[in-house]
Amino acid sequence: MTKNYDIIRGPVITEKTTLQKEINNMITFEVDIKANRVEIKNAVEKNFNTKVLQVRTSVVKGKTTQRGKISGKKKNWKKAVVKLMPGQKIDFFEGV
Amino acid sequence: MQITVVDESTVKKVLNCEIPKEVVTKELNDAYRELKKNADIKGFRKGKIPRKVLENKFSKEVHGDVIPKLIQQAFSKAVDEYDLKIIASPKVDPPELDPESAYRFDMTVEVKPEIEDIEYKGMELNKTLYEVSESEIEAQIHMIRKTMASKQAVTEERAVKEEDFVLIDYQGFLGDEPFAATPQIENFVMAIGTDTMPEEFSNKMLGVIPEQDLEIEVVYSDQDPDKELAGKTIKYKVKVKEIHEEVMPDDDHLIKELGKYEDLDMVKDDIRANLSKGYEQRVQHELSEQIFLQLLEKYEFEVPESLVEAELNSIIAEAEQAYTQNNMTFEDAGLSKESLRKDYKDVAEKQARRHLLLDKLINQENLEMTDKELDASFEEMAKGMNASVDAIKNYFNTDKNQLENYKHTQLEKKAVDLIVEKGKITEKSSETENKTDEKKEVKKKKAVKKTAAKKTTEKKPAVKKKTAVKKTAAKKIAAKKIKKETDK
Repeated sequence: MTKNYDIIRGPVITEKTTLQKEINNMITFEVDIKANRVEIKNAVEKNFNTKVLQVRTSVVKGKTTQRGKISGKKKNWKKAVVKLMPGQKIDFFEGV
Repeated sequence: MQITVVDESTVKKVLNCEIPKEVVTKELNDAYRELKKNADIKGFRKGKIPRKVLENKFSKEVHGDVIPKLIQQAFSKAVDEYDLKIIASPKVDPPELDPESAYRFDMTVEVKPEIEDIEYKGMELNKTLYEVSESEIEAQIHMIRKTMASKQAVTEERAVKEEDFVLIDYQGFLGDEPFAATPQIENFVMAIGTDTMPEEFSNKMLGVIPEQDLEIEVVYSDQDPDKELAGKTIKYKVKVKEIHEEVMPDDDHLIKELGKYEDLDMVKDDIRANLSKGYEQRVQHELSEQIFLQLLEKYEFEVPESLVEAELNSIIAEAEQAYTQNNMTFEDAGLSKESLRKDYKDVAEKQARRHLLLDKLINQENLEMTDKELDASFEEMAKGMNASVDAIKNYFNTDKNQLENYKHTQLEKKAVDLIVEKGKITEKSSETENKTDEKKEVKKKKAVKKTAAKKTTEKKPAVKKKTAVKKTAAKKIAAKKIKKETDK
């Protein structure tokens, strides 16, 4: 079984996600593509010591790239938008 | 903004500054706003990055920009408010900036010392009048001849005497074995009576009629600079092959070699002009030395460290340059920057005092450099450097800083001239002076040789002093020799 810290790959910090965090207390992670919502919820709760209200996931399709004639494709990855319980927060993201 | 001044000494002040929180926040806001326009972070459009993200990523840089700004503000305010005459930039050890509170820091500044008005009129000065004597000119010509002399083999059979050169083959043996550090050397031209070879060589060589084989034993002391030879007794087998002697060019030859002269008198005139110019400079130098000795005794004040430091740096830079010109480093000469620093601290301090005094006098008398005077000095410089006046002007025009510096040195010169002009000058002929001088020079030479680079009290670096002394000493020796010859 994959471990908790294997599931979460890292934060996704963009204009949109910072806005979501400020308004809805939602935090966005890049996660293992095989992980499901329950696993993500457990992983976040354990790793960051918080309570999670809701997890929404989506698979982001990798972009196609082209170098001359050879075209390729970047990997698909799973994005998880985690909504925390009201009043909960993750210290790591507070500065961000 | 609150600034309190704490006096540490008359020239050193500590400014306790406190910048209120509002000013700090305002400066920070400005800085972040500026940054936001151009910062580029992945995932954000340009100009749309939230402050928090910026703070997280760039706080170090922004604080690094804002702190000097705040310090600068406090500094200029302090200068305005307390009318400080600051020299050199202030020393600050800035603490971390906390955006949530007022910013406090200490600033150490050095100010010009207060010097009372300088009473420069009627200073008692001794002026020595030097005259160029014929013997000096002769000595100079002799030197020129010597440099042009060619070495020729002596055909007649005679013994080696002083000032000869000998052509020798030699090899050193340690015991009976050939010694690696002293291999067989053939056709070596050796000057008798110089220190290129050990003294025993010269002594044994005197009176020898070539060709002849010699055995010379040389005992090297333990302190010998050549480590391979130190403490050893080397037996040299020497074969004296030929005697060479220097043949000096005669007058016609000399004039031809020198090129631009027609007869010997012209050469002499030129030398005389050169010498008297040198003496003029010497007189000037002596006068200014006297002036400063008196002034320094009369006016006491503290000297800011930064000025002394600057003087020290320039002295060391000069010395370093002199060494590099001779393809040497400080290490080769057994010196280090630290030891030089120690040795020249007093000299640097004196220099600093000198500049402060002159500066004060310039202000006191409102001395100024007119364009005319400036042009005249440029012309003189052009003559000395063999360059065109325009080239020099161009150089200074492109570098305003240099021009200011140059103007300042000229002003200092003017100040010295003013003191000389208003001083009471007693003139003295050089006859008596010269003799004592000669003794001094010889003594100095010895001292310099012994202690090599130990400190001399002159302001110039040891290197320059050394060469100067050597030159004059050489001249004197040459003069003596000529005297001997004429006596005969």
